[in-house]
Amino acid sequence: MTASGGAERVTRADDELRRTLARINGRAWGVAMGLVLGLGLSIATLFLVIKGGAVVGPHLGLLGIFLPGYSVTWHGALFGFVYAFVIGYAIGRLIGIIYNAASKPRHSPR
Amino acid sequence: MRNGHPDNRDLSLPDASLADTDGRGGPFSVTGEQRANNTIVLAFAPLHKAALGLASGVVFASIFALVTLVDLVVDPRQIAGLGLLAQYFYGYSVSIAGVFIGLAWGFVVGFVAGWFLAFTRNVVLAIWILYFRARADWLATRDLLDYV
Repeated sequence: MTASGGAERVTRADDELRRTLARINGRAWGVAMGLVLGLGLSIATLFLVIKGGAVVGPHLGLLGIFLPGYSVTWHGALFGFVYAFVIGYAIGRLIGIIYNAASKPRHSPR
Repeated sequence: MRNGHPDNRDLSLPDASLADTDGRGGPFSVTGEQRANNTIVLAFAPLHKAALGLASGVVFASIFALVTLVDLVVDPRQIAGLGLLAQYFYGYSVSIAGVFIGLAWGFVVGFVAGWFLAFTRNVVLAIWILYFRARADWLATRDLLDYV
Protein backbone atom coordinates (compact mmCIF):
# COMPACT_ATOMS: atom_id res chain seq x y z
CA MET A 1 0.00 0.00 0.00
CA THR A 2 1.49 3.34 -1.05
CA ALA A 3 1.27 6.46 1.07
CA SER A 4 -1.01 8.20 -1.46
CA GLY A 5 -3.28 5.12 -1.59
CA GLY A 6 -3.62 5.16 2.20
CA ALA A 7 -4.39 8.87 2.24
CA GLU A 8 -6.96 8.40 -0.53
CA ARG A 9 -8.64 5.64 1.48
CA VAL A 10 -8.75 7.83 4.63
CA THR A 11 -10.35 10.68 2.61
CA ARG A 12 -12.93 8.25 1.19
CA ALA A 13 -13.74 6.99 4.71
CA ASP A 14 -14.09 10.62 5.90
CA ASP A 15 -16.42 11.33 3.02
CA GLU A 16 -18.52 8.25 3.81
CA LEU A 17 -18.64 9.27 7.47
CA ARG A 18 -19.99 12.70 6.50
CA ARG A 19 -22.65 11.23 4.22
CA THR A 20 -23.81 8.44 6.55
CA LEU A 21 -26.42 9.31 9.16
CA ALA A 22 -26.92 7.26 12.28
CA ARG A 23 -30.19 5.40 12.57
CA ILE A 24 -31.90 5.15 15.93
CA ASN A 25 -32.65 1.81 17.57
CA GLY A 26 -36.25 2.37 18.68
CA ARG A 27 -36.21 -0.38 21.30
CA ALA A 28 -32.97 0.88 22.88
CA TRP A 29 -34.28 4.44 22.96
CA GLY A 30 -37.54 3.18 24.46
CA VAL A 31 -35.80 1.24 27.22
CA ALA A 32 -33.41 4.13 27.92
CA MET A 33 -36.17 6.74 28.13
CA GLY A 34 -38.36 4.36 30.14
CA LEU A 35 -35.61 3.74 32.66
CA VAL A 36 -34.76 7.44 32.99
CA LEU A 37 -38.39 8.44 33.55
CA GLY A 38 -39.22 5.38 35.68
CA LEU A 39 -36.22 5.69 37.95
CA GLY A 40 -36.63 9.46 38.09
CA LEU A 41 -40.21 9.25 39.34
CA SER A 42 -39.43 6.36 41.72
CA ILE A 43 -36.46 8.13 43.26
CA ALA A 44 -38.41 11.41 43.59
CA THR A 45 -41.27 9.52 45.30
CA LEU A 46 -39.00 7.54 47.61
CA PHE A 47 -37.06 10.68 48.56
CA LEU A 48 -40.28 12.37 49.71
CA VAL A 49 -41.51 9.22 51.51
CA ILE A 50 -38.24 8.87 53.42
CA LYS A 51 -38.18 12.61 54.19
CA GLY A 52 -41.65 12.26 55.72
CA GLY A 53 -43.53 15.12 57.41
CA ALA A 54 -47.13 16.03 58.20
CA VAL A 55 -48.19 16.05 54.54
CA VAL A 56 -46.00 13.89 52.30
CA GLY A 57 -45.41 15.22 48.77
CA PRO A 58 -48.60 17.24 48.19
CA HIS A 59 -47.45 18.47 44.77
CA LEU A 60 -45.97 15.25 43.38
CA GLY A 61 -49.12 13.48 44.56
CA LEU A 62 -51.12 15.51 42.02
CA LEU A 63 -49.73 13.14 39.38
CA GLY A 64 -52.36 10.74 40.70
CA ILE A 65 -54.91 12.72 38.68
CA PHE A 66 -53.21 11.61 35.46
CA LEU A 67 -51.84 8.27 36.66
CA PRO A 68 -54.64 6.44 38.55
CA GLY A 69 -53.26 4.50 41.52
CA TYR A 70 -50.15 6.61 41.91
CA SER A 71 -49.48 8.25 45.29
CA VAL A 72 -46.46 9.40 47.28
CA THR A 73 -46.07 6.13 49.21
CA TRP A 74 -43.82 3.05 49.06
CA HIS A 75 -46.13 1.18 46.73
CA GLY A 76 -46.75 4.44 44.82
CA ALA A 77 -43.05 4.46 43.93
CA LEU A 78 -43.48 1.03 42.30
CA PHE A 79 -46.66 2.12 40.51
CA GLY A 80 -44.89 5.28 39.38
CA PHE A 81 -41.96 3.28 38.02
CA VAL A 82 -44.25 1.09 35.94
CA TYR A 83 -46.30 4.04 34.66
CA ALA A 84 -43.27 6.20 33.84
CA PHE A 85 -41.43 3.27 32.23
CA VAL A 86 -44.37 2.57 29.92
CA ILE A 87 -44.73 6.27 29.02
CA GLY A 88 -40.96 6.66 28.52
CA TYR A 89 -40.81 3.52 26.38
CA ALA A 90 -43.60 4.86 24.16
CA ILE A 91 -41.85 8.24 23.84
CA GLY A 92 -38.49 6.64 22.93
CA ARG A 93 -40.11 4.26 20.46
CA LEU A 94 -42.06 7.10 18.77
CA ILE A 95 -38.97 9.30 18.53
CA GLY A 96 -37.09 6.37 16.94
CA ILE A 97 -39.82 5.71 14.37
CA ILE A 98 -40.24 9.37 13.38
CA TYR A 99 -36.48 10.04 13.32
CA ASN A 100 -35.73 7.02 11.13
CA ALA A 101 -38.52 7.99 8.74
CA ALA A 102 -37.39 11.64 8.57
CA SER A 103 -33.68 10.90 8.14
CA LYS A 104 -34.16 8.26 5.44
CA PRO A 105 -31.89 9.18 2.48
CA ARG A 106 -33.88 10.52 -0.46
CA HIS A 107 -31.38 9.39 -3.12
CA SER A 108 -29.47 6.12 -3.06
CA PRO A 109 -25.84 6.54 -1.92
CA ARG A 110 -23.04 6.41 -4.48
CA MET B 1 16.88 -0.62 19.66
CA ARG B 2 15.53 -1.70 16.27
CA ASN B 3 15.60 -5.49 16.65
CA GLY B 4 12.25 -5.85 18.40
CA HIS B 5 10.47 -3.43 16.12
CA PRO B 6 7.47 -4.93 14.21
CA ASP B 7 8.90 -3.68 10.91
CA ASN B 8 11.95 -5.95 11.38
CA ARG B 9 9.99 -9.22 11.57
CA ASP B 10 10.40 -11.92 8.97
CA LEU B 11 7.62 -11.24 6.47
CA SER B 12 7.91 -14.69 4.91
CA LEU B 13 6.39 -16.26 8.04
CA PRO B 14 2.57 -16.31 8.17
CA ASP B 15 1.15 -14.15 10.93
CA ALA B 16 -1.62 -15.98 12.83
CA SER B 17 -3.40 -12.73 13.66
CA LEU B 18 -3.83 -11.95 9.97
CA ALA B 19 -5.07 -15.41 8.96
CA ASP B 20 -8.26 -15.60 6.94
CA THR B 21 -9.68 -18.37 9.15
CA ASP B 22 -13.40 -17.79 8.51
CA GLY B 23 -13.03 -17.31 4.76
CA ARG B 24 -14.58 -13.83 5.04
CA GLY B 25 -11.26 -12.02 4.90
CA GLY B 26 -8.77 -11.28 7.67
CA PRO B 27 -8.47 -7.81 9.15
CA PHE B 28 -6.06 -6.62 6.43
CA SER B 29 -7.62 -8.37 3.44
CA VAL B 30 -9.74 -6.22 1.12
CA THR B 31 -13.07 -7.58 2.40
CA GLY B 32 -11.94 -7.42 6.03
CA GLU B 33 -10.90 -3.80 5.64
CA GLN B 34 -14.20 -2.93 3.96
CA ARG B 35 -16.13 -4.57 6.80
CA ALA B 36 -14.07 -2.70 9.37
CA ASN B 37 -14.62 0.58 7.49
CA ASN B 38 -18.39 0.00 7.33
CA THR B 39 -18.50 -0.74 11.06
CA ILE B 40 -16.49 2.39 11.87
CA VAL B 41 -18.63 4.57 9.59
CA LEU B 42 -21.81 3.27 11.28
CA ALA B 43 -20.36 3.59 14.79
CA PHE B 44 -19.33 7.22 14.29
CA ALA B 45 -22.19 8.32 12.04
CA PRO B 46 -23.64 11.68 13.04
CA LEU B 47 -27.29 12.19 14.00
CA HIS B 48 -29.54 14.22 11.69
CA LYS B 49 -30.29 17.32 13.76
CA ALA B 50 -33.47 18.42 11.98
CA ALA B 51 -34.85 14.85 11.97
CA LEU B 52 -34.30 14.41 15.72
CA GLY B 53 -35.76 17.88 16.29
CA LEU B 54 -38.82 16.97 14.23
CA ALA B 55 -39.24 13.62 16.02
CA SER B 56 -39.00 15.04 19.53
CA GLY B 57 -41.07 18.07 18.50
CA VAL B 58 -43.93 15.88 17.31
CA VAL B 59 -43.77 13.70 20.44
CA PHE B 60 -43.55 16.68 22.85
CA ALA B 61 -46.41 18.47 21.07
CA SER B 62 -48.59 15.33 21.27
CA ILE B 63 -47.85 14.89 24.98
CA PHE B 64 -48.59 18.56 25.73
CA ALA B 65 -51.91 18.46 23.86
CA LEU B 66 -52.89 15.06 25.29
CA VAL B 67 -52.14 16.07 28.89
CA THR B 68 -54.20 19.26 28.43
CA LEU B 69 -57.11 17.27 27.01
CA VAL B 70 -56.95 14.69 29.82
CA ASP B 71 -56.80 17.50 32.39
CA LEU B 72 -59.87 19.12 30.80
CA VAL B 73 -61.79 15.85 31.17
CA VAL B 74 -60.61 14.38 34.50
CA ASP B 75 -59.78 17.59 36.41
CA PRO B 76 -62.47 20.18 35.62
CA ARG B 77 -61.83 22.02 38.92
CA GLN B 78 -58.16 22.53 37.96
CA ILE B 79 -56.72 20.92 41.11
CA ALA B 80 -53.56 19.84 39.29
CA GLY B 81 -52.73 23.46 38.46
CA LEU B 82 -51.62 22.71 34.90
CA GLY B 83 -52.59 26.27 34.00
CA LEU B 84 -49.46 27.44 35.83
CA LEU B 85 -47.54 26.40 32.71
CA ALA B 86 -48.76 29.72 31.27
CA GLN B 87 -45.97 31.29 33.35
CA TYR B 88 -43.53 29.82 30.83
CA PHE B 89 -45.68 29.24 27.74
CA TYR B 90 -47.35 32.49 26.71
CA GLY B 91 -51.05 32.12 25.87
CA TYR B 92 -51.40 28.59 27.25
CA SER B 93 -54.44 27.66 29.34
CA VAL B 94 -56.35 24.49 30.19
CA SER B 95 -59.00 24.94 27.49
CA ILE B 96 -59.71 23.79 23.94
CA ALA B 97 -57.72 26.75 22.61
CA GLY B 98 -54.96 25.82 25.06
CA VAL B 99 -54.72 22.36 23.47
CA PHE B 100 -53.65 23.96 20.19
CA ILE B 101 -51.40 26.54 21.83
CA GLY B 102 -49.82 23.72 23.86
CA LEU B 103 -49.39 21.75 20.64
CA ALA B 104 -47.46 24.62 19.07
CA TRP B 105 -45.37 25.31 22.18
CA GLY B 106 -44.65 21.58 22.62
CA PHE B 107 -43.40 21.35 19.05
CA VAL B 108 -41.14 24.38 19.44
CA VAL B 109 -39.67 23.20 22.75
CA GLY B 110 -39.31 19.60 21.53
CA PHE B 111 -37.70 20.67 18.27
CA VAL B 112 -35.13 22.86 20.04
CA ALA B 113 -34.40 20.10 22.59
CA GLY B 114 -33.99 17.40 19.93
CA TRP B 115 -31.92 19.59 17.60
CA PHE B 116 -29.63 20.60 20.47
CA LEU B 117 -29.31 17.00 21.69
CA ALA B 118 -28.21 15.86 18.22
CA PHE B 119 -25.87 18.85 17.86
CA THR B 120 -24.22 18.17 21.23
CA ARG B 121 -23.89 14.46 20.48
CA ASN B 122 -22.28 15.19 17.10
CA VAL B 123 -19.84 17.71 18.60
CA VAL B 124 -18.77 15.29 21.35
CA LEU B 125 -18.34 12.52 18.78
CA ALA B 126 -16.26 14.80 16.52
CA ILE B 127 -14.00 15.66 19.46
CA TRP B 128 -13.56 11.93 20.20
CA ILE B 129 -12.68 11.21 16.56
CA LEU B 130 -10.18 14.08 16.58
CA TYR B 131 -8.64 12.75 19.80
CA PHE B 132 -8.32 9.18 18.52
CA ARG B 133 -6.88 10.37 15.20
CA ALA B 134 -4.32 12.59 16.94
CA ARG B 135 -3.38 9.73 19.28
CA ALA B 136 -3.02 7.28 16.38
CA ASP B 137 -0.80 9.77 14.51
CA TRP B 138 1.31 10.27 17.59
CA LEU B 139 1.65 6.51 18.21
CA ALA B 140 2.64 5.97 14.57
CA THR B 141 5.40 8.59 14.64
CA ARG B 142 6.65 8.59 18.24
CA ASP B 143 9.66 6.31 17.49
CA LEU B 144 10.55 8.28 14.35
CA LEU B 145 13.83 9.46 15.84
CA ASP B 146 14.96 5.81 16.22
CA TYR B 147 15.18 5.62 12.44
CA VAL B 148 17.05 8.89 11.87
